Parts: sequence; C-alpha cells; structure tokens
Amino acid sequence: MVKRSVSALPIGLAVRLALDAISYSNALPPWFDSFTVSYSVREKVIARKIEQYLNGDRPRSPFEILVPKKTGAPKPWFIPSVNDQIVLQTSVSALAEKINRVIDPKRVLSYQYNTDPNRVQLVNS
Amino acid sequence: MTRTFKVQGLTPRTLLSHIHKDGICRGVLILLPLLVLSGDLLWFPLVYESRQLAKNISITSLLKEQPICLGTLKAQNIYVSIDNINNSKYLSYIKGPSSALAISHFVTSESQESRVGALGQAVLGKLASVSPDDRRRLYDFFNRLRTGHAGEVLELPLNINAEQHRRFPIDHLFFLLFEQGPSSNNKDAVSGGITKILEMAKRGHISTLIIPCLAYSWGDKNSISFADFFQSLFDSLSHTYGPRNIYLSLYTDWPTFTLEEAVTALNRVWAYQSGGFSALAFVLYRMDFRLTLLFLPLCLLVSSFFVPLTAKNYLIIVFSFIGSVVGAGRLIDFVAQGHGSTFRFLVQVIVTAVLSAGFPFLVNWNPKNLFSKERG
Repeated sequence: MVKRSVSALPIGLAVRLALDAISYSNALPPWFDSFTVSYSVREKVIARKIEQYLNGDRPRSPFEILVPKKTGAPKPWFIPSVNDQIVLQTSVSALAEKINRVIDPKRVLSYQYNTDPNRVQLVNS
Repeated sequence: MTRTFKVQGLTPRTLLSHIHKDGICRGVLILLPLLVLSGDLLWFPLVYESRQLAKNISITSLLKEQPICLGTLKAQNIYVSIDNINNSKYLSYIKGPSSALAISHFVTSESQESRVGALGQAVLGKLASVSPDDRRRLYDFFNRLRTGHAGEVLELPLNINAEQHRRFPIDHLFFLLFEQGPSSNNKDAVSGGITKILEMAKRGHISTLIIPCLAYSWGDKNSISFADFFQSLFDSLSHTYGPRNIYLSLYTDWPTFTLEEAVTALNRVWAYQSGGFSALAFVLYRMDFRLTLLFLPLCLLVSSFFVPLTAKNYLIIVFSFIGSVVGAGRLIDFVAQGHGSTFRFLVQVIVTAVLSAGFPFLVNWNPKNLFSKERG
C-alpha cells in the first residue's frame, strides 16, 4: 500500500527541482556538476527513503549553522540533508499544482506557479 | 410514385404474414450498410485520422505522470514518455499485442566496422537477465553487422517468454544504421530510416512502436539537433500509415537542460504539424466512406416509401447515392476552402444528411427540365 502511494508521488520532478532548478537552497555544493547525477538512481533512493519515513523512521537532525543577523546577533539556520530536501520538495510538488488550481492568480502578489511548459521550475522566473 | 402491392385474393392472415416478411426483408436491406460499417470498424478499429489532444506538453507534467498523449497523426496515436531501460517498470504502460523498439547502430562505409550505440548496449544488458537466448542472437547479429549504409533498416524478432515479457515488453527490434561521426550529417538517414521502420512495423503487424531520439548524444556538440530529429520524425509520421501507437521516448538520465531542449523542440514541431487540426478540430478515419455508409440507411428508408426495394432498385439507389456523395465531396471542398477541418466536417455531415433524406426528390432535379420546350 505504502509502495503504491509512494510510486504515485512526483519524485522525478522533485529530484530535478531540488538539484537543478531551485538555486536559493543550493542543495548541491558548487563543485558538483548536476549532469553527473543519475536521476533514475536518485529517484529510487528517494522513494526508498519516503517509504522508510512512512513506516516510522525519523529523519536525521538537520545541519545547524549560526548566521549573524544585521544586528550582529547570531541566528540559527537549519539545513536538511540533500535527500531530505528532495523529500520535502516531493511533498511540495505533490500539492503545488492542486493548490494553484484553486487560487485566483490576480491575487498572488509574490511567486506565480510555473506556466512555462518547456522549463523545469517551481515558479515562473 | 407510390408503393403498391398486389393483395387481391389474400386472407387477412396471409396478408399480415406477407407484410411481416416484407417488413423484415426491407429492414435487413436498409440496415445492411450499417453491417458493412460495423465490419469496417472492426477491421480498422480507429476513430481519428488526426486530432490534437494537447497543444504542447509540459515538462513538469511529463516528469510527474507518463506517458502523455499528444494526439493522432495519420491514424497513429502519438505519446511522449521519459524512460530508462534499466528501470524495473520500463515501458510498463504500453498495451497491445506486439511492440517494437527502434535502435541506432553506427557503421563506417570505408572500413568494415560497426559500433553498437548506447541503447543497443543497454538492450544487450537487459536481455542478459530477461532472455539469454535472445541476448546471444543479438550479440551475433551485431558481430555480423559489419557493412551497411546510412538510412538502412534491419530487424530482429525477439522470443521473450511470457513470464519475463513484462520486464522487457518488446517483441521486435529495428536497427537504423547511421554513418559514424557527427550525427548532424545524418538528418536524411533519420527521415528515410523512420519511414522505412514505420512501413516495416505496419507490415509486421506491430501495434506499438517505441522511438527514442535516434543518433542523438547529449555529450556530443556535433550531434543531430532535437529540432531536426523531431522534424524528420513528424515528416515521416505524417506521410506514412504506421503502427497504431507511437511512443516518443526521451531518456530519464539526460541533464535537465537537455530535457528542456528536447521538450521545447518537440512542442515547436508539434505545434507546426498540428496547426491544421488545432483546438477542437479533428479528422475522422476513413471519413467519406464511413459517413456515406452511416447515411445510406436513411436514404434507403426514405426511398423505400416511394419504390419497392427489389434487388435492382436497391443497387440503383445505393450506387446513385454513393455517386451523389462522392460528387458532393468536390462541392464541399470548394465551399470549405480556407476553413478548418471542423467546418468541412460539419458541411459534409449536413450535405450528406440532406442528400440522404431528400434523395427521391433530388434525383429528379435536372436543369434540362427547367429549359425544356414543353415547359414553355
């Protein structure tokens, strides 16, 4: 049952969005070329990870770093592992289109959901 | 002229029996064209000659769900998918009794050498676990394949047993030969080769053909461009009646920018190809023949109120009606010039309906009667 529901998730899209398209989170270090990624292998790994989480496993704690704010006070940033970022992206991609369908685009004042059929991106650039 | 029967001397029972038998006979004759139409639908179980289901495909939709149906071209349903032969669910979505995969193979005309392409290597690897006998036959086939010219197509049937078939649901392999070197020089080979593959697949009663981006290599800057490949492919598809289902297979492990490039080129070429039958427009398969058979019973029914449906009368009505519809086709083309296929279809339906319902009256129309001396 879990396996069937996991296979219906947009993992292939999420892998590409997390690793290639979403630049602000920089899931991969700058010295890592995205075209060396085997997308099909990564997809299998993520599917297995989601199954484990659905069966009760807990994700590892995210990497924590203190980043100074303008005032000088340190603020903690939490960075999940690359695979966990893809798992989160899978959840987002599974919902994004459905949510976008019921939203009035005239009232969206920030990011618009991707409408370019030829681009792999979450929001219009 | 009204219909008359010789009923003198008959008892009411025999009269009723006569009418009953006559009614059945009349009904059978009237419905005969529908029987022929049913036979035609069974023989060619296709509805559309061409139609556009999607204006373009979205790469994000393709990554989420596949395959996506683009539409129908020359009675061939065209799908797009992203596949990897090493995936356990490779081609799990295809249906139909027999399927074939097209593969590129590279030869050198000067020296008797050939090189197996990346997909060919992957098929060898897959067959090693799925059907070792077929793997051996394919290996020998590659070894023997030393000569050939670009654009030539060779085939190899596979005998994968039913148990393993779902792991690699392919019954036939087609090899399109390319000259080694920059594949950008192989544009003509792609165009001619795919036409040959479609013809061979049709002859071999293949219902599903998987066509990857033949001769394309994303790491080679001199490789054939996606735009050229898809243009050649759609040119072949729009001129040949091939298998019923065509799957354009993109590769799962291409980098994202290559996948974007492929989908952009595909969308552009499809928009150009499907321009003639865009949006709600469509063209039905064997439309003239099927529409004529559909309206022929109406024509026969109306005519049967004016003349008895004897064998001779029946044949005269059938052939006159078919002749009228064929003749009207030229008139419809004349009227529908510059309009889309939907407009032509609507005009054709209206004209055929009027011809069939008013056939007994319309056949009496003759310009000579207007200007005859007796009339004056």
